[in-house]
Amino acid sequence: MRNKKLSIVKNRFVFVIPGLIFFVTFSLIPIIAVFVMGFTSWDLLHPIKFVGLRNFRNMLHDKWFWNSILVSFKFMGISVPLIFFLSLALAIALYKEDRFSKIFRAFFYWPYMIPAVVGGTMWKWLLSYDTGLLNYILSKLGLEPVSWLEESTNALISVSLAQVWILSGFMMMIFITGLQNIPLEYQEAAVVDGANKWQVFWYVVFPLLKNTNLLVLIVSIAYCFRSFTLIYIMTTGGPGYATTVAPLYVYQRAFTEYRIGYASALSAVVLAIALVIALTVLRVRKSD
Amino acid sequence: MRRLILVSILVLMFSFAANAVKLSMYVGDEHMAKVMKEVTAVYVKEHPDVEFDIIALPYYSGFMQKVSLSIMSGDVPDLIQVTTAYAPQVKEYLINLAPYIEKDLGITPKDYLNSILDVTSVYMTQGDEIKLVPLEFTITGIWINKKMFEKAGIKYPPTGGRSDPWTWEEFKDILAKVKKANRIPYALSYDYSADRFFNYLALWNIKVLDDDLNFVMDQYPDAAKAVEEFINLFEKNLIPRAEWLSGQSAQQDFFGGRTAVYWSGSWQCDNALDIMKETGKEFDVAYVPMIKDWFGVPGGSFLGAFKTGNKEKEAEAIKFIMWMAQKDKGYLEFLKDGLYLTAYKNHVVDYGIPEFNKWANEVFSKLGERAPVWTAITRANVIWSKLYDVVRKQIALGITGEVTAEEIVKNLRSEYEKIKSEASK
Repeated sequence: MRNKKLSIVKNRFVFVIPGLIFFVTFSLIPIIAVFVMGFTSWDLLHPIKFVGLRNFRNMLHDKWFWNSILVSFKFMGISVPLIFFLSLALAIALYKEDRFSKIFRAFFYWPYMIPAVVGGTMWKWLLSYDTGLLNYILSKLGLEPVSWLEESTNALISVSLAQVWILSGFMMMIFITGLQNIPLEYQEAAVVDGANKWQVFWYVVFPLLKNTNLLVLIVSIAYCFRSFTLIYIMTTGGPGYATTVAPLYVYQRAFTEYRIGYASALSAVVLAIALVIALTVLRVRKSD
Repeated sequence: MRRLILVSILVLMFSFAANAVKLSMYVGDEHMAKVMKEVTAVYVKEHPDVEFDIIALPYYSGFMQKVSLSIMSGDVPDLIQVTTAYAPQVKEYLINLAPYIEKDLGITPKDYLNSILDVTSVYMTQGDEIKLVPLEFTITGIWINKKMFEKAGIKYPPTGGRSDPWTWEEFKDILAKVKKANRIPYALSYDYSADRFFNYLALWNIKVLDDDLNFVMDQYPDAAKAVEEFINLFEKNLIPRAEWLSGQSAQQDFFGGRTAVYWSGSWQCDNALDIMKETGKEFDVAYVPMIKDWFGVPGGSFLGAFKTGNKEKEAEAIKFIMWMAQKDKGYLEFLKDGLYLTAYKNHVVDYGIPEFNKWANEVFSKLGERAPVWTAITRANVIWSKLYDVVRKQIALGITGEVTAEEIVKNLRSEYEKIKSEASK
């Protein structure tokens, strides 16, 4: 019996090995390397110098780094709720298996398929103050053009909305899968008991989507927190530092100023913050 | 017998090709890559035992990252074309060309450096060694849309009916006039560039760094005023805010007709000629305005050879560089193919294009002659290249109204101290 149990464990472990190797090589080792690099000073061209805690001390006084963390949270705070509710609404509208739903699902999923560079460039052109289509339409309607990307608050909202546009389709598909797994009989039983559509949704469907809700939330938060390409293309973090999110700030320190050691220290802190967010979300799930 | 001869010839050709030394070259833009291919094709005719592989790495999209990674990995190209912005960072990895200048060109290194514009030669040396030879020389200047200026009835220096540069107050008035007369949304295009801002500050005789690379901008009593005057150009809608706040292309704004003036430089010549030919628009070049002084800010690019350890390739790379260093050989070919300005003193070039000859020899040369050497020295260093993005961001914050001009100067001092403290440890 004991030998049988050991053999089962061994067989299961064999299947885990490839994934484990991949995880160690491409996740764990780079994370450790970044953490170690945080104690050094390096500009890619000269030998690496060990500088102890200097980078972490400098980081404490780096107001633009903490600003980038705040901008990341603001960006998440605008994007994530919109992604969640918009994708849920789309899923409810399109989860039935008819031709109309299938066509529109593809239409809403399409933004997720296009490369972020293409999407970002498209939005940048649309929102350009002088040459953008949106301001052209506004001017034809007799309205004043809007500084979509030139005012700090507008720029942050614009990149957030572009992020919502990209991600909602993908989250919609996750919700659709969740909705299709809810037996129809539960909803029918509620209708028979006199529940209206809203009550069916709120008291029957939504609670049964708990795991899907959590998945959408976690994936959206993770995606938005590490968002880089879209913002880099649309605003390069501007105007000023208004849309400089944490990954972009780290990138600029590393590859514009060639402060690899300092950027690594910042990365380690960003990673720690991301971990706290993930643990918080999981803790909320557990308490439910 | 005939077959045997043919086969022998073929074998000889292939063995020749197989024995050809292949030199790789990094260049920073597609136009330079095209020009270098034309130039190297001429060289290869005289030196069939050499081949070139020219790789374009766009400057403003990770050029220095890729070069740094090449250096770090030991897989460097044989040759590199590098601008003034990046020359200070790569020089120490390049071969000292001084002994070859003496041997192949027959002049002392000192005489060779003296034959080159002072504002260019400062980038080429490291101590007593000469690490780079000049390629194109660039100088900033003002581009104007001729028809828009004619419509507004404005004369421009030096070839548009006026000999002296405008004063700063005149320049601001002219911008407002040309904007109104042509009913265009803005007047002036201005690249989102710390170097371009440096040019503006330099006309106030304000330095950001001194010759010893100390931050001195805050020691000038009118530094804040100069910054404020610049920001006011955006507030008065003379410069599109989007050019500094959301990456709108200043070049497109000007050549597309949204502005009448473009504070740019000689590197636009080729582009301007193409657009003039295709669209019938007319452009010309003017002097920069006189604030406390007037001159262009120099730039350009250079050619160097990396120390690769492969003696045969290094020898061939140096031979090519020496050919390019000769004003009447490779260098002349390069200038004419690319429509570039010369970096050599007393070197008049006939490009065969009257408009370009006028721009090069009557306007840009004057702007270049007046450029003081400090405009090159104080930017030919790693500290300026690290301050570059900081300067742009601070000005952008000023344009959005989030910081005042005084705060901008203070913040630049604070960022400089951080960069210097890291560089010194």
